[in-house]
Amino acid sequence: MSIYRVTSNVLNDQSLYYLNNNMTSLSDLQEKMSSQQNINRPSDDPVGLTSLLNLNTAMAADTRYSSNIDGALTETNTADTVLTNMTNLIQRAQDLATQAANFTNNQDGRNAISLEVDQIINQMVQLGNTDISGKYIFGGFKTDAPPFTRTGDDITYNGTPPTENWQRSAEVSQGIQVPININGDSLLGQAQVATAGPPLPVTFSASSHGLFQTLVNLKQDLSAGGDPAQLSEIRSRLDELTTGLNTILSQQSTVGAITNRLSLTQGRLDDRKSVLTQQYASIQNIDMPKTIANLNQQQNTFQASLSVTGRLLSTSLLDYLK
Amino acid sequence: MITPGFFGYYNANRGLMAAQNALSVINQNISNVNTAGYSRERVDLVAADAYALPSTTQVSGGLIGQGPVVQQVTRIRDQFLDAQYRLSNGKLGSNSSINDALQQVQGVVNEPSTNGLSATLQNFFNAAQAMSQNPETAATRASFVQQAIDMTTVFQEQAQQLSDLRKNLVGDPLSPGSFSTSQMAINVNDVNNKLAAIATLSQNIVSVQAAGAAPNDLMDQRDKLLDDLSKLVDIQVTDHNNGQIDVSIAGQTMIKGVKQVDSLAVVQNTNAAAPLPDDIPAFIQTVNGGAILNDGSAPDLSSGVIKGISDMGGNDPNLTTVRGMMGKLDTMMNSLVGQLNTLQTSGFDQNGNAPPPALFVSDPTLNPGQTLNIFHWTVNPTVINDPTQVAAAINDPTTATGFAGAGDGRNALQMAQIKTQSFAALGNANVMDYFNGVVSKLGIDAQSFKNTTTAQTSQVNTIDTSRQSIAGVDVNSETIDMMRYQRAFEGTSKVLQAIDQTMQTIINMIT
Repeated sequence: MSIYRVTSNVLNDQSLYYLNNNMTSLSDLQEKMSSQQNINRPSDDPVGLTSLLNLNTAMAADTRYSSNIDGALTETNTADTVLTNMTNLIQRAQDLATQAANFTNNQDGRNAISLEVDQIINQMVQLGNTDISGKYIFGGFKTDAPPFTRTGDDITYNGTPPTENWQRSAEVSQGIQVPININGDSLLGQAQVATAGPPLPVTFSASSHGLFQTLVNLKQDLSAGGDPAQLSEIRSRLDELTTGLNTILSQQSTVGAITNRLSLTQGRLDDRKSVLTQQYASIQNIDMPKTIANLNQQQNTFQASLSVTGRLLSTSLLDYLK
Repeated sequence: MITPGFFGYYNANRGLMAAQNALSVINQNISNVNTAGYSRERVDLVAADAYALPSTTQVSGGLIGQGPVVQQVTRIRDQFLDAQYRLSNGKLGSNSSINDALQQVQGVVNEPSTNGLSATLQNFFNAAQAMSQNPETAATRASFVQQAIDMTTVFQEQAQQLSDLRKNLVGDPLSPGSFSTSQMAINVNDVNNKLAAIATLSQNIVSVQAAGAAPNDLMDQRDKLLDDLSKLVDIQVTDHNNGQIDVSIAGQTMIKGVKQVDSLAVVQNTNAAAPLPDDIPAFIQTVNGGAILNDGSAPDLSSGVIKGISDMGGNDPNLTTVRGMMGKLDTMMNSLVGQLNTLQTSGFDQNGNAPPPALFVSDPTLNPGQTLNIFHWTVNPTVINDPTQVAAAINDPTTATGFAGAGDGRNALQMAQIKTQSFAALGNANVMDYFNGVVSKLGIDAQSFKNTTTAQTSQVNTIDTSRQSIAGVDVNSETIDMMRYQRAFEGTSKVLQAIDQTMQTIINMIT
């Protein structure tokens, strides 16, 4: 709309209006500069905000998945160490059995070996009861109590039996779960001497010779006396020990595979994190040089309009009349 | 042809008076240069009726001028621009009041931030994940319960702030006193005061006109009041050009001629069977006519601050209203809490007890009187006191009792996975996406009303500039006029001096 007659107040009002507009632009830029954010409220960029919230959600979820993986890795690494220790113990037991079977040791010597096997059994029970700050890792879902108890030569497994759901898993990314534990019963089995102790739970079968049964049998064979039948029995324990060792080694390779998978996922999450962070930054972080340039420009505009306004409004015909 | 001897004195007298009159109008103009609503005035001078000289030989001895007279002092104003201004001003009123309220809603929602609802929900789901990994440790359970409390707090804080905002806008049945202190009531009072002042001014204008004078200043004041009124409500003004005007609001006559016939009142909506119960807590009603101007059926306000306030306090599904926002948060929380309780009561607690107590309970003594569930949900105090009662374990059919063990976090994982679960109540979206949608819609509405307000401000400004360019006082042109009349005064004085000297010469001849 063209203005035919510019009156004093038209000038005043227009100047005020444009100065206000300049001030608003300036304060918008200043807000961006001081918050270092493009979007400070939903109306700043509703579309960008949606992406921002989605990215925030994804990044927070990934942080959690990353912690899940860290927790799982702690458990698998611990399990790996435990399995290595178990392997060493079984190899020692093999040495001892070979020694007892092949060399005509006297009973004193066999008794000494028997004592050492007893110690190995204790150590194996201890390893089976490994916990990470109170969480027993070989007990399936029953993580709050030691899964193995030894009473005399009876060794009982109290964790979740392999016949039930026992696999704990960690969610490592949206909808993907990785199993992290191995079952103590499948690994070591249980042991019962025919004469002692209360009957074992139904899951126990005397025919399945788990490692514990083998070790207990070996210990009893050693302390029973030196007749040739006993010696051949000790030799057969050697084969059983090898089977048990293979079980441990195969479980260890499973744990190794899980650890690999977790590490790979961790790496993928790290990659994704840098991508997401970049996307987030491209939406939310201000372009410093551009914003500073805009701010300077806006400041110049503001100063120019202030100075023009100052000069314009001070002119009046009255100044020129005497 | 003989001119009467003293004729010139009277002529000069008229000239001097006219110049003085003009100068006094210029004085009035310049001194009112900054008076809002003042229209500049102009002196309309006309030549006085010519004097017909008597003659002995002819019918008339000829005409002789008698100097200027002030015919009238005209108020310069364009009524068409006034009407345009008032129309735009009303739209500016409704847009800017909606814009203000939406800015406040944005403040309540507080996104994007690290302590808004989005972040709090994420924290809660993460806590459920953590509990699913280590359900046998007291720390993860305590943290889960704490996050559930935090989440409830954020939901309720936002709902409470929105409720306060609505109370401030249109009042709240929970505190009946708020209907007279709400922004709506304050603005309605303002409208009534202005209507009364306009009626009084009209009476004065008519009586001044009857006395034969021009009530220009009074008319300026009345126009200013009509301008102000047009920002609050949509008004229609009919000018009878005799000092009387009719003013109606949304088609309802408020002033007829010089008499105020009706006014507005804020009335609490107590009618439970109203078309939209609980939606508009207060009606704007004409006192005598009884018409409700904000119930969605004609007659209704179409613009103005009061219309904007009423819209934001109502529940128009196409606009992000305060009530609408509360409703959306409520639906969201109910869906979430409902699903969490379903999972909780289907599982086993840390010690193998089933069914565990509900995770969230509705406590009507919390924020009493509020109708939405969001105000009543609270984390079950039993669970807060004993976090082992959180059902992190599922009911596992492969076990004898259903309880797999304290290390079973599968139910907790399902709780964490609610994050990606869609709900029919949320339009088949999950809670996170639903909330993003709600915030995004809020952003779009706030942005659009901000832009409209800016555009409308500019439009009103442009119209006002046009008005100012016609009605406004320009000191420079007034100064020039001042010089003009000053010179006229001086010139007339000189003529008077000359006439007086000639008379003196004649008088001096008689000795």
